Amino acid sequence: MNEISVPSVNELIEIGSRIIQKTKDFGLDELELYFSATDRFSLRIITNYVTTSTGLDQGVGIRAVIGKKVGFTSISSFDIEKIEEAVKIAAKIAKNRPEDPGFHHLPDPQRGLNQGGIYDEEIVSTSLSELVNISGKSVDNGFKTSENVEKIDFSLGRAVGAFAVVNSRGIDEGDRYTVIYSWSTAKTKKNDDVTTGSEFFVGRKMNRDEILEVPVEAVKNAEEMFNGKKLGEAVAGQIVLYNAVVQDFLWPLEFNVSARNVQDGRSRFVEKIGERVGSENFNIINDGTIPEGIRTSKVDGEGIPTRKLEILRNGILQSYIYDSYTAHKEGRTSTGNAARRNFETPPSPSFNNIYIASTFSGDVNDLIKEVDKGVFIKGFTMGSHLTDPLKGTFSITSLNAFYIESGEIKYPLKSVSASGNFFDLIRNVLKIANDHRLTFNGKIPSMLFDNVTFI
Amino acid sequence: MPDIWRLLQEAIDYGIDYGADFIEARAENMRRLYIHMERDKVRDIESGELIGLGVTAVVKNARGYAFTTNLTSESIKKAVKDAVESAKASTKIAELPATPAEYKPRNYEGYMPQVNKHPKDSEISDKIELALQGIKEVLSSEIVSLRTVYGEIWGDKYFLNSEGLKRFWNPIMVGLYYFVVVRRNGVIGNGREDMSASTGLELFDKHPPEGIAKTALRGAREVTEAKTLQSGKYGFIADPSFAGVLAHESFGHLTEGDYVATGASILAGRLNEKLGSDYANIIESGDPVNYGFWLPYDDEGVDAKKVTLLKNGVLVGYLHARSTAKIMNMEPTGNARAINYRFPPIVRMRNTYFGAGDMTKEEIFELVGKGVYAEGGGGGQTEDTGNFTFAANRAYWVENGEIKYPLKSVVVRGHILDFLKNVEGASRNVIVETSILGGCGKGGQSPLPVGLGGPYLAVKEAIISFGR
Repeated sequence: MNEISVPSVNELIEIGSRIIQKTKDFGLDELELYFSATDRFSLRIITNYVTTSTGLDQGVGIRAVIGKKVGFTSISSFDIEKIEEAVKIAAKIAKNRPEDPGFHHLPDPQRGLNQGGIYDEEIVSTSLSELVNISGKSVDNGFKTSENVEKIDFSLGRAVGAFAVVNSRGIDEGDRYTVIYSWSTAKTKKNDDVTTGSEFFVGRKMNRDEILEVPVEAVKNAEEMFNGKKLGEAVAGQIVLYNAVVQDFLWPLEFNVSARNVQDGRSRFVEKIGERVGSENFNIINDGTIPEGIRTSKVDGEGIPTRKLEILRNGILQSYIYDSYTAHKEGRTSTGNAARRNFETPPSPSFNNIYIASTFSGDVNDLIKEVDKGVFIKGFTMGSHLTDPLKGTFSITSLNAFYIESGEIKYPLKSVSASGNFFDLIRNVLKIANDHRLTFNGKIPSMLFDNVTFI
Repeated sequence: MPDIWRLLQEAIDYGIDYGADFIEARAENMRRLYIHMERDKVRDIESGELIGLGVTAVVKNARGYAFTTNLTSESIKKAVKDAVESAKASTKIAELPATPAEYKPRNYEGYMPQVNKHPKDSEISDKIELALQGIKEVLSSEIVSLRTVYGEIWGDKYFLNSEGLKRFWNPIMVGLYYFVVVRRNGVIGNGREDMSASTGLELFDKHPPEGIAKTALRGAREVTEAKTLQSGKYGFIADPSFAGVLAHESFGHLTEGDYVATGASILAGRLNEKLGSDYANIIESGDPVNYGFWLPYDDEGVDAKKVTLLKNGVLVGYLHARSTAKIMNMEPTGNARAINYRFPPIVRMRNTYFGAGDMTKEEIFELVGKGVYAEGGGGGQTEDTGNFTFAANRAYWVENGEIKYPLKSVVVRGHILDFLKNVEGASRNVIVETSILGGCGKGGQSPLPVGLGGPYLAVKEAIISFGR
């Protein structure tokens, strides 16, 4: 049952090369085909209600170029004839649309492939029933953790995939990946006190032990919130962000360093290369090469090698992230940051993994010790997607947070909202711990910032 | 195109042979077109066709789902096998049964959108022209960035199940979105506006692009003059769009049958309880009312009938798929939706809106008198606990029932049960909106097109924070 049958990268490149050949007389100047095939399994348990889903998601995204006119179309099939027809559709769009003066050409091959990310045969060979069993056991473990558990919500996902980019300028590269992830939320009750907690795990390698613990940790996180109080009045102070939630506050960075947003006037970092935008102790790199990184791959969505790219050094902005379109506009070559949401969209700049460097060797507990007056946000945040990445104003609520005074946690907070502005926040980094956690976005440590308002 | 109905029937027959107690097979052929513009230049033109087939199998008390994009007998058989096998594997851990409630087929009887100018009959150049109308209206030296997106989705949806229920319908939505960034007196401000509906391009005859772009520009300009206030409790007025965010986020999610049936929602077990004021009515329907998303049948073939969730403040309904309805011994409501063939249907919303009251807009403003007026939603989030956080698109300070000045980055938060009790009045006309960009997210299925809306609402007090 469910033998995973994802085509190999070479098979996809094969199909792409054939199409390039067969469409040579379609009147195009250039052509690019992006193939994506992912075998996806997902399972969700809401307390004791189970849904599962499985299937091979595959399709091709096609860019057809005539001069400075690009037409894009996508289809959910690898059938050669259907792809040829789709190339005709993309060609027709290109033919009939106005020029884009900003377009130069599709990317040329670049040298210097990294080794790519971990591909785990065990993830591939774990059967559906085994995944279902692990899920059931994990939830059981969660319930066994404490007699106070009322509900557990659990999710498990497995993706095994391959992608390839073939273009008429000589690019024919791709990569494959394995990902397993799990998250859980738990509701616990003691007398009339109801609290919630959450936990997640993501990796490129199978890790049964971690998955089996996810609901357990969620329950523990929920129980830590018993006897929580509200702040009562607004407090201005420091904020400790646990590694798991840092991204909720820092995501506007990607928006503002995207060369596309910069070139189109939609970024606060326009003309800021070489200028200070963050604290002196703040160092961030974009890294497409971390073996265990979820966003690692040999090449990006245009077939360009990914790499390490300094974004912030000592708080000074070093680089934007580019795809080929934005790079060529500036007379550069792509930095390997072209990402596609899926085969249905053309590429645009996006981070690979981000890595934030620590400023000392301690962990989150050491950060808490440094707080005069403030809040430790451990998890369960809401509203981070409401931050306007251009305005920067954020107002993020957490149901797993603690009040800190004089370096000690005083009590859990029933619910607290942290408000501020992203562009001020990154200038107020006090300390960065060395407790990096692998998340969907990179390797992120816990961080201490100054000057946030809480209510 | 292969004979879809034959393939669906094959899936059903094979599934029953293979050991399923109940099978649903659905297929879709969906088209999309997005035209992205920067200032007055066309950047990307993104078209696509998505064809796929998905099968739900129920074996004893568990269900499994599998899909394929290869519409061949062989691939479909594999999908059916996988669906049945994963159902079998889940029987041990599924304590709540996934069997479907009985459903006596009814046809959808709500409003059917008129489609006079179907987007498939128009050229890309016409659509670019449409976008340009708005662009030309606002492009000027104060504009630092202008992003426009024209979008359309349409296609065919097929459904068949082992009870012989057969459904076919054609989803449709068109929309135009403007995102403006201005610089005025050295200050940067951004604003956005979106006009979408389940109709054809005639939408823009009634709602010209110029108007949509001007509203986005107004929002951007206002940000440059916006003032900030002390966070705290204020009297509050929601426009139909913001009311929609409240209805969808603060209430709708908590009435979803999977959360209710498992006790995960705070609204579980509270039918017939008074949770809000007399003026708080919330309705959920596949009927788009005016500018919502049209959905005649859900992805289990159930007609998307109107459901009253909150009536004069009393909880009177929940949203159900056939399986959650069965668990709770209630009727299916036509709320089982999947974003596309890659996913199984789960309980989702359709069009969620506050019901009309009997006041005029002016009376609503007078009633609140002094406070914050929020126009348009910027999205939001609610937890199972009932705590919510919503952002406004534009917001203003109101005094003596009149708008005085714009406010910075308003976010409304609180607990839904407190909030609903504070609704003091509703105006007469309901507007329901949808969007070609974005939608609702749940269980990894995002963004699902939904409609949301309401009348103007007067709220006694809400907890509001402002940008700095």
